Amino acid sequence: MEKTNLLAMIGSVLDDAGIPYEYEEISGRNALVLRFSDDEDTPEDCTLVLDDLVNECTALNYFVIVSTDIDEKTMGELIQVMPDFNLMIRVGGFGLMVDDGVLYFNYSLLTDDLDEENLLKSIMTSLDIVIGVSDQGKKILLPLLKGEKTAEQLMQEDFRLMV
Amino acid sequence: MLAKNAPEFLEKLGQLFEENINSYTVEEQDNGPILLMSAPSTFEEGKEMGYSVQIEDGKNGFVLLQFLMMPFTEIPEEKLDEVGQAICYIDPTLSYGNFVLLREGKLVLYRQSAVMSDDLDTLTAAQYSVKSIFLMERTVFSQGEKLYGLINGQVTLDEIKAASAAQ
Repeated sequence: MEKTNLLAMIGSVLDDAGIPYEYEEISGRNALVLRFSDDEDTPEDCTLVLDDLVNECTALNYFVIVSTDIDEKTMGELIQVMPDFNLMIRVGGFGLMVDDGVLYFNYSLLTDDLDEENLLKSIMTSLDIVIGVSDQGKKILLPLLKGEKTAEQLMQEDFRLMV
Repeated sequence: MLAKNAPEFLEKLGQLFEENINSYTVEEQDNGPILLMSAPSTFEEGKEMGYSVQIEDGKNGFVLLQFLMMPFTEIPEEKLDEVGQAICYIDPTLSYGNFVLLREGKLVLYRQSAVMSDDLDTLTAAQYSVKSIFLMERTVFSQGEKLYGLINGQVTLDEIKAASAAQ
């Protein structure tokens, strides 16, 4: 399936569901971006982009910007908590762009072998899960992001993600 | 129905890999049947590397395929913090999957999951699984070398940070 066609098909499903999105060009690649509210408790946006991998494999990458402008001290706390935090997650994973002060969530789905119907079903269900997990994750990490708790304090809590 | 036929599907998947691995077995676990495979380690002669594929019934017509590799075990206690930090720098450079540190088990996992329709035919699911495992092996072989070097004192955390920043 053509890459632009796949993004257009996703856009069409989002149109039907009344979910706003934009097409953008990111590093020379077409991307579909869903923006969330400016609420500090929720992730900022979710970008869907197709990546060529080795051996002619293509993956749809879901990349959620969970939090930005994270200072060095908080980043140090996140580095401590991240390995344990990701253990709870069954779909995708949280990650850090340490030097850029960014907390993200990502997930990839291979797109080559699935027929159109199954591919779209998987893409849209994955999108629901990605948004749900990144949102729950941010809410759990918020006390740390706001400097109200340390990594040690957060790790002592019995936090669980629902997905 | 992939969830219903999961044990048979995983058995066939194990047979597909049989030539390149030491052994495989399919077991039933609480969250679904799992294919456990053991292959020679890429990094240490005489050691084995674990692989697994698990199918969880995600309900509502979906299943979750969980692919997992266990490239490093028996990580020295004093290296665990550095390995955890190194993963934070390596993960953003990956196009597929994530490394995870299990502090208590002193091991590193590399994993990827896929949300699939339960209607998916087993041939397509097998093609997807083989591709996924192939991509994961490629990543572990290329990126795992840094972690292996860190665990064995041949690479420093600063070198990993610099390499990740340059990518």
